[in-house]
Amino acid sequence: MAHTPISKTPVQSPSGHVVSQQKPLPVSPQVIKPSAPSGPVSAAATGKVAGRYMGAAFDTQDVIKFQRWLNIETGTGAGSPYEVIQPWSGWLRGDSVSTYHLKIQISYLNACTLYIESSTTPEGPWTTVLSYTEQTDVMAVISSEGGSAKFSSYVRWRISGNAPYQICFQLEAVPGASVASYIGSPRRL
Amino acid sequence: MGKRVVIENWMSLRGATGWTGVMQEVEDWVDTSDYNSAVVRIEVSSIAGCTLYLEGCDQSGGSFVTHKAIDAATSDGATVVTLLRQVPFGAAERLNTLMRWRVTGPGSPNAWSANFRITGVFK
Repeated sequence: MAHTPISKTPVQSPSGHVVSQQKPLPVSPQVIKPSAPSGPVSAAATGKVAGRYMGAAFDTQDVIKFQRWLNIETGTGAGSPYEVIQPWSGWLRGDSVSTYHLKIQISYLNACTLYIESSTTPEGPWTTVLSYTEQTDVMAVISSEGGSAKFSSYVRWRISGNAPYQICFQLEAVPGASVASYIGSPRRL
Repeated sequence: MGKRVVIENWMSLRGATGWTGVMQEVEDWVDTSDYNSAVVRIEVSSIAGCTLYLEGCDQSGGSFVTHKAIDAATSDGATVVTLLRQVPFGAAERLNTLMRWRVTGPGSPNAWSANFRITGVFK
């Protein structure tokens, strides 16, 4: 996004993209700018955000835009396998984080699978952490410490299917402890 | 010369049945409080089964008013919306403190899609 940098003033919880005519607006700005990562996104590099939500003070890690809204529609090449893999610069780093809360929004999915996968090295091999085959709007928890959704040093998304397929999705990641809401505020011109 | 801002760069969205829409991220809503006028250009390369709204709001917790609504019937490539701070309160042409976009499907059983860009010049 080619936006003019605007200070971040956390307060309100958009928590997703549920459409509403009315939305409470920010009230108590505090400015914390995340540093811009040049490679895989480290949780430590996103900075801290403090603010208020529903009247209560909170202090939590910033939200990582794992993938902003992305719409992929392959050509009509009949039946051939086709993969799209997230560019390296957007991968999550798992070295210093034990837990990520992922907000997974898939507004459209046809004939493909969205994988969240992880590897100890950039070259792989990659292990599937989560996978989705239909539209959804969920929060999932992945951990480096075990369980069914276990990740390691690198986390990325991949889409696989037989062309033609279509998918439109967005992924957000909150490192660390449970966070119920996304905190943001309008950018100032 | 005013300040030229990309309110949303080319955005491609697609929604299936049951997905009612997508709203601009809150941190990307535009705070226009330092400006008295805006000329907003909405370019729509395709839209089907949904409506793209440009909206504004003045107060915390207040209601958003629609500056412009564009759907398949009204889409004409590019639409220009001129907004001024000094017009009667409640008028759609009034430049509100906050500006955002959202796309809503019609609640029909059909999939929807929209491809658009929104830019503005603020003075």
